[in-house]
Amino acid sequence: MGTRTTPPDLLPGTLGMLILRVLARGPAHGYGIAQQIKGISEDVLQVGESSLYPALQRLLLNGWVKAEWGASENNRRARFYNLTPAGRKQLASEREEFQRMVAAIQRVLETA
Amino acid sequence: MSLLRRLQRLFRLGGVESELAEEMEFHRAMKTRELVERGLPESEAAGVVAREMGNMTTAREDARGVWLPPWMEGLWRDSEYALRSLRKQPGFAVVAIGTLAAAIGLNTSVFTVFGAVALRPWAVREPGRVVNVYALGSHVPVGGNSAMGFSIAEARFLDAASQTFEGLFAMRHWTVALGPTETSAQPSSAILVTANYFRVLGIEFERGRGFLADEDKAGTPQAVVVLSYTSWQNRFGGDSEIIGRTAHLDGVPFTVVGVASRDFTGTETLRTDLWAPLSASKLLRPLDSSIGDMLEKADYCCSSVAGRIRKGVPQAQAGAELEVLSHRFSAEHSREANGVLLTSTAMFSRPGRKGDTTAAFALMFAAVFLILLLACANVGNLLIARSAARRREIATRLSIGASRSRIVRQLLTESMVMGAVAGLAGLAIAYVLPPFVMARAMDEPANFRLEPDRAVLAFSLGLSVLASVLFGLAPALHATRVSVTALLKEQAPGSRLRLRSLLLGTQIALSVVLLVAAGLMMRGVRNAANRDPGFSVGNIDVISFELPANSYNTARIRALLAGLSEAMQQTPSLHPYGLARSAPFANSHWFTGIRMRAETNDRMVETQEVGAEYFSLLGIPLVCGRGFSPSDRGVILINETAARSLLGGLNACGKTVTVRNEVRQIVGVVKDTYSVKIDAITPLMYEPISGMDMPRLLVRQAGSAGFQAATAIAKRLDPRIQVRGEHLSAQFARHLGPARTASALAAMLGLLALMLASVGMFGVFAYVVRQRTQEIGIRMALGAKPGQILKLILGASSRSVLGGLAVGIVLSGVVSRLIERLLYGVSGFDPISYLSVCLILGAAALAATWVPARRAVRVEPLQALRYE
Repeated sequence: MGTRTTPPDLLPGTLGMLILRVLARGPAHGYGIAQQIKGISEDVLQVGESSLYPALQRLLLNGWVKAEWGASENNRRARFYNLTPAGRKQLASEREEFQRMVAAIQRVLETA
Repeated sequence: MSLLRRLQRLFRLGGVESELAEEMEFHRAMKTRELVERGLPESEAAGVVAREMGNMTTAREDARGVWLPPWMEGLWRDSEYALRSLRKQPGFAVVAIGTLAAAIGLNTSVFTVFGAVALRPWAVREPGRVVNVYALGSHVPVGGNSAMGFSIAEARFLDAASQTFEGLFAMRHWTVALGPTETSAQPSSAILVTANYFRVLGIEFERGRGFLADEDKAGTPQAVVVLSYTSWQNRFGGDSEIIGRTAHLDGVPFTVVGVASRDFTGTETLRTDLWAPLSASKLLRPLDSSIGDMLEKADYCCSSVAGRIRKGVPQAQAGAELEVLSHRFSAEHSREANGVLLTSTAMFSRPGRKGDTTAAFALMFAAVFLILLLACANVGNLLIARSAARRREIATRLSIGASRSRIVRQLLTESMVMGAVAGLAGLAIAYVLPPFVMARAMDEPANFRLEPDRAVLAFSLGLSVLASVLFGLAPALHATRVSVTALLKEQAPGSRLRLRSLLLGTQIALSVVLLVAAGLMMRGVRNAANRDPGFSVGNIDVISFELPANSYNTARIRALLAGLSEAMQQTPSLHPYGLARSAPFANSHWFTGIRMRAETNDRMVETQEVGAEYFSLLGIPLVCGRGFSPSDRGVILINETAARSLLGGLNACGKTVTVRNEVRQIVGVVKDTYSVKIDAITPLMYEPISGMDMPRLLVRQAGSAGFQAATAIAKRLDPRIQVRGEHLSAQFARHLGPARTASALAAMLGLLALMLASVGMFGVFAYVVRQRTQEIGIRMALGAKPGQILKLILGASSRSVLGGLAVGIVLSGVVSRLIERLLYGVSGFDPISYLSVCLILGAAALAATWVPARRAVRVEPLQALRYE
């Protein structure tokens, strides 16, 4: 096991969208977010702490998520992130943009 | 929005960091647990996680960096560092910040007053569209401007005819007695207005309403009044059922229809207590036949007119339209046509005010700006001394690789922090000082609000930044422009002393200027107070009679005067006496148009109405001709200056001139006196008492017996007459009041300057002693006498002290020419002022040297040598 962080093939700028998508399912703490991304992507996407936390701070700064302290599942104090209405909007638009992109790339790949 | 969140974060940066740390610690713990659950031994798991998570500190800093762009972070760190180092030297911090706060406070105060007095328009809705309207006459009075008001009839015409104005109104300022009852009434400031006044200005009401159109018809005057918020509170106890109640105005019952909102204090320079319709003046002065003319005649001059321009109409277009309308009105009434001038309602824009206001404020700004420069020089000097103490710290930072610009930035940030703290304190001063000074400078409540506004905030902020750069940049550049090795070895760079000497010289020059100006102004006021006005002031008493205005007109006043003088004949305690429309040095002035018979244009000349005994009572001698006799009508006297300026010579006696379009003979010329103003003699015309209003009674040494006798006589003639008595010298003191306030302010600034300069000198001398302790020690060890040591210390800075003094004296010569108008005849080169300033500064220099010099001659040679 090396000190692998984000897989190199994770498109730049998509981490924020992934976090927002995970949070759309419900509030989660940082560790939980990383776990969910890893689990749902079946271990393909592994989010390192060194990019997760700055990304979370950026989302906070933009007002897309809110943070509150609460008790974790094993009853430790943990910081839970929550999607704001602005974040929900942002997710929708980023998602649409991303899907347009992917579809475009796909078209290029298939015809070329 | 995002900047706001950033700043919010900034103020709890510590909190953010600990939160992040806790959060990542939780992450680490969870990860470890996960591995342990998969079967890894706990000790091994921790190691794996540590490796996997990499450098947590870096991650944390990255995360924090999202919130804080690097420049902001640097600024934050520098500011924190600056605050810490200021806290470590509280003495320095107090002196430096206190000095700056005083200087910024003074500047901001002057700016506050300037903004409130000169720049702020009336407190009405959308004041930008409200303008004062003036007629520009073709006759320009001596030394004045030709802007004047309109007849009420013309104002009504303009209001009805104008398309570019939402409305135009006329107003006249009166003083009436106001109270719930006739006996409790007090003199109050009233504005009589056309009915549309409140509507055009967009005034809100605390209670009730403004005037209805029907309430301002000249034929059917209505006794209705709107109270100001203050007079409602103070005179009527804030009565919540005030609407419909009775208020007495000059003894006439009026019905209260409204109370204006708290923010609206009127459209005059004094605060307004009440408003009444113009036509109600008929009820207030039922016997005055001129009121009818005032309300209806097309050429009855002059009421102030103002109006609100329609949205989107340029001012020039509105003015052009009014001019056309005014020409039409003039043609219909066969009068000479006037031009029209529109100005903003701020005092600064009013015709004839600009010059005076500009000059007064320019002077004040100059003075307080000098104080600011002085304070900056002082703090700059303190900073240099301080950076001397921090040389090692700075050298160390330079030598471990800090760039010069980084350290300059750090030092400048320290200045900015000091400037910011001082700016806040200065703003606090600006909240307190102007109302305090103005309350003392004015005897009637002025109609401006002295709260600092947004412009003031911006001004003091700008000033703080400017000051920080002014006092901080030179020392910061200086502190870093040194060879690291020299500094670490504690060698004294000579150039630092040069900069300090330059600053010291500047300081002394500036304080000389301020002290000389203050000294000249104080000597000027003393000069004025001691000046012989040309007549006797000391033992004259002024007795004034207040008549119930609604029952007197000119004929009745004349009858009253006849009864009065008859009774006075039999009262020896009231002899000798004289009558005058206004007492010498009073604040009321009348001007009359006068011309030589051959001339076509009137010249406006100050006019005084006096009784026959006036000149002998005050001891004003005749130059030629005779004085008035009790039966004189239609003749005038003039003073020498008027004879010279009107007739080109003193042999004016017996000549005739045209006064108010009637021929008048000059029966005598009297000697010039300073009876109007103490600082200048202007042309003056005397006329016999007309009875237009009740003259004052001047009595030599009336005393309380005389005052009681006068009161008894007046009450016998009409029990409603109020009698007040006062020494003429009190009137004179009031006349000098503003000059006294000005010179006291100048003295205060001068003292502040002296204090700053003394602190500055002390700093320099103390620095020199500290710098040369070692050298002094060696000299002492070699047998130098204390006197020689003193000479060494004093010699180091005497050049800058003397140079500053010389430059200061030259500058003072220039400045004193500018303020000569305020000096009441004291020459701008008055040697006593200059000499005493030199002595005062010399004494201050000695005092400032005393402590450091004593320290120098007490240096223990051994200790000094061990200093290394």
